[in-house]
Amino acid sequence: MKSTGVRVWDVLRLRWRSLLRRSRMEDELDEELRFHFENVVGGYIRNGMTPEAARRRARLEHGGAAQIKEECRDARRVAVFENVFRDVALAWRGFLKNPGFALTAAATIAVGVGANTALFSLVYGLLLRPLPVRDPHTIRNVHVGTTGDGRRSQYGTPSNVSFVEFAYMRQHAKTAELAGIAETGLSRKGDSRPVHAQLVSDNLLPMIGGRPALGRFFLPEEVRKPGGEPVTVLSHVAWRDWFGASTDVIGKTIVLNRKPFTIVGVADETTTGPLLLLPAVWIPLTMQALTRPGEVLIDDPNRAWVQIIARRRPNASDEEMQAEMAVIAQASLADHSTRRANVSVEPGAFLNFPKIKSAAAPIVTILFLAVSLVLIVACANVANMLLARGLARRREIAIRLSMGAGRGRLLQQLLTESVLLALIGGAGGLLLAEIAGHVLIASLPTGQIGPHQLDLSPDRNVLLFTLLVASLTGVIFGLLPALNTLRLDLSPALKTSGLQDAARPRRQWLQNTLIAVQVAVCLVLLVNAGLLLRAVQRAFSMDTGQATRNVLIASFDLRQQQYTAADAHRFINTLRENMNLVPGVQGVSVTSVRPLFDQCGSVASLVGRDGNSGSSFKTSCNEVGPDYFQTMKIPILFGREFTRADAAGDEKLAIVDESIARTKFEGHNPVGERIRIGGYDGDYRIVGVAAPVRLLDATNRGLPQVYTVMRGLRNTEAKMVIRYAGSIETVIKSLQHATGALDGNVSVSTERIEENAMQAVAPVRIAASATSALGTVGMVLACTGVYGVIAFAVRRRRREVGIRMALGASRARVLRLVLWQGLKPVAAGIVVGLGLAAWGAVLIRAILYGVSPFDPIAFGATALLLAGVALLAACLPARDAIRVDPAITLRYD
Amino acid sequence: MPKEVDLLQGTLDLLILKALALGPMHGFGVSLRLQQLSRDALQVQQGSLYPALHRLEHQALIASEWGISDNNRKAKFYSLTTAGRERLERETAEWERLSGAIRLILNAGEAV
Repeated sequence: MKSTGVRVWDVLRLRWRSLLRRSRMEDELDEELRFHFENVVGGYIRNGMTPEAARRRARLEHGGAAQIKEECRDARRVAVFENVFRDVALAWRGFLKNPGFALTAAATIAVGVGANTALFSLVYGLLLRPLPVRDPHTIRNVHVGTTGDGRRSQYGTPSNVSFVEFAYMRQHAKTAELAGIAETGLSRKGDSRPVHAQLVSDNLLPMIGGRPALGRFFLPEEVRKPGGEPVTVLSHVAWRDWFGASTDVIGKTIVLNRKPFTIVGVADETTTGPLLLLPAVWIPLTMQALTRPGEVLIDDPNRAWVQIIARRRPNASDEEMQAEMAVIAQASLADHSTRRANVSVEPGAFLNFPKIKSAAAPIVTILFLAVSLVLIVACANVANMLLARGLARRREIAIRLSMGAGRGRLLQQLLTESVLLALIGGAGGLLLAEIAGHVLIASLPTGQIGPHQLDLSPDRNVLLFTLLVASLTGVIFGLLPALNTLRLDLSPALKTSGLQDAARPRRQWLQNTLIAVQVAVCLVLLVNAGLLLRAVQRAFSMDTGQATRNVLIASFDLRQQQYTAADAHRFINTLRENMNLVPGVQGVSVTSVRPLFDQCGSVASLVGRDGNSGSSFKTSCNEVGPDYFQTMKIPILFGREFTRADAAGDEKLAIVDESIARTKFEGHNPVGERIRIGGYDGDYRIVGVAAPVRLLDATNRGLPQVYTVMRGLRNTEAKMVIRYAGSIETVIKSLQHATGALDGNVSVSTERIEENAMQAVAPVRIAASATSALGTVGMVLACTGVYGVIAFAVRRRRREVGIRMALGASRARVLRLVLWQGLKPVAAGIVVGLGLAAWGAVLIRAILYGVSPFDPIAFGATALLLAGVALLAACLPARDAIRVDPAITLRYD
Repeated sequence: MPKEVDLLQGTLDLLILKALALGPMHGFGVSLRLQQLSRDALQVQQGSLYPALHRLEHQALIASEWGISDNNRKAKFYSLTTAGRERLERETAEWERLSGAIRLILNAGEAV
């Protein structure tokens, strides 16, 4: 045992020594080998040889001293590290000697890596980045999805639970502390902008490590049961903006949704809440009813609106927590034996929800594929630059090989060079991604969604990702040229100046393949960008079966102004009649969903004469007011549309669309038949059949529509639709005037239906612009690649061109020859690229709005564009070839 | 000139350790000694010898020291360390067992 200890120490000492005193070790090695050599020579001389013959023989026998020394160095393993240092220094000096090459290559990689890092930062920031709270690594999102009961309605995130379920789970959880949170928009007296509020359980703020700057957070008794004195905690920002950071705010009141709330505390600057949007105020979960009269969510087990955020206890594991949550979530549903809870526990992050992740997956996949393709193009470009550089260094490398340097050792050196290049490029990419992040955050419509805390700055994981991508890139684009450079035949390489290349066909083949890869990848990006652009175009010109222009959509903050359902109904009705009198207004109605965009899902079944319902089918539901179909220009095919009398009466009436009439009633007129909606609401009499409408939502599932008459405004989020002729400003002014005349506190927000359409196609538009931008970057890179390779080939073939011209070849012929040589790989790349693009297009078919994935215009135009640009890139250097003076080039070399 | 014999991997290390067990010696001396001991059957090339010496030194099985050779020149002398001596004993026993086994197999025909 003792000897092992000594040995380890000896080994360490030796390694240290060999690292530190490298030159002394080298000298000793030289001396040792010289001693041996001279002894061998001495032996031969003693055996009767002449000194010269003895030396010659000894040298022949013992091989290259450099090689022996190299092996001796390698025998001490420290050589590996030492070599890395030396190689890095060598590569760095090489870059300084040829800064043009190094800068171009690093910039190319920066673009490729930057695109990847930027996208990663965004996805990471939304789905993975630990929350801005104390000790974020033990924070978990608890998702509860329930199945088996259509009556449950979901508010906010798709995995929320009802307050009753939350209270049960919180009480029984042992592996974690559970806190509840929900978001809502409030209206503050004297402030026209909406106030973003977080409804929280008493333990939420302490659990995430929040600290009050003044006063206190909520007490358990304030959050135990509904009612009680309304209290609020201000965010630091609200405290500053509303009260000028005055220290005597505790005990004062603010009026939110016409209810006075007593300020009990102010959070400090670092307490920003666990959600993406920054809250202005916190209020207890149990005061939900105060914010929305007539919509008491707190006792209703059918309304899931509480998001669970948990802190795992130190002694529990994720598996234990998952198991326990599954059991108590199911137990919390005990009153509804048909419901099943699907629980998943995930690391805390803003949008780390299974449903959001699966919905975002297709777009994220497309974007990641796109940025990887850009990276591949960038890699191919740099690989070609390295190939050309390797060619210029053939002589240097041949000399080193013949001196006994190992090929493995040289490979290590060449790879060090490319990895160093990639790391410099990666640093640049990080910078580019940072800039892209700022641009992205600046372009977010914060006016619409409110202030947020999306953080795209690089943290350890982003750095790690970039480092990984960059070094992988370095190895990938470096390996091929390095192997190619080392696979050379020594004697011709030593003899020539390096420009005449004995192994040309092979090398040319590799360069051409890289160009073809670049062109193909670039074409995939551009074709898909083209398809997406065509899809956006198609979406806007698509016949949606309803008015898509000259319609104003207005919403009112009736809920925040404490309107009851009946009050809101009266308000909207009066306003509708008043607006009908405004000149230029051609129709006014109300709807519960935004046209072209939203849809609410429901189930319906036909009711036979015997009162029994048939099998149920999925429908999209919409509550609308009188004149809706006339206002939205949706034709009524049979029967009639809803009238004022319908809205005033209490009979349950429905209008179905043509697809239901056709498929469910098998052709006979459904007017007068009965339909059951949702399964619980009772039966509706069908009064009309409307022409089908289409949503502009890319993921539109095309459900058949059932309209019911809006009455009593159960849903106070009603939107008014106004079709107008002439100036929209006049209509908006009249609307604001009419609203103010009815209730000065109510504020109205308007949008044109065209904006609505833009929003509905936003995901596709974003994908289209991102892919076009990346495709353009790819095209520029690919074309510089084509330019570089042809320029290099022209330079190398000067002599050949000179001979051809001396022998009488015309300039046109030479130009054709050079161009064809350069464009052959482009043509191959285009052919392969078209095939790959078609394959990619089939994958994104779902979001193409019916544009064929083989759309000839997108494919043809893109291929022509790329071919044209490549031709241009090829022509510039090719002109040099025909300027060759035969007399000079024949003497060249 | 003695024929070159391919040595089994690791065998050279064993031979060097054995040569040094007889006393400290410089690199050239080791090659000479191996040649003599094998009655010229083995001639160790410089290209294998020195890397092997450095490897063994790196593993702390042998130690080196600069000294004066027989012909009054400065030379690097290698000597066996305690660890090297242990390794030599172990490897020798191992080798004996292996070569005994091979001999048994090769003699098998004659025993019948």
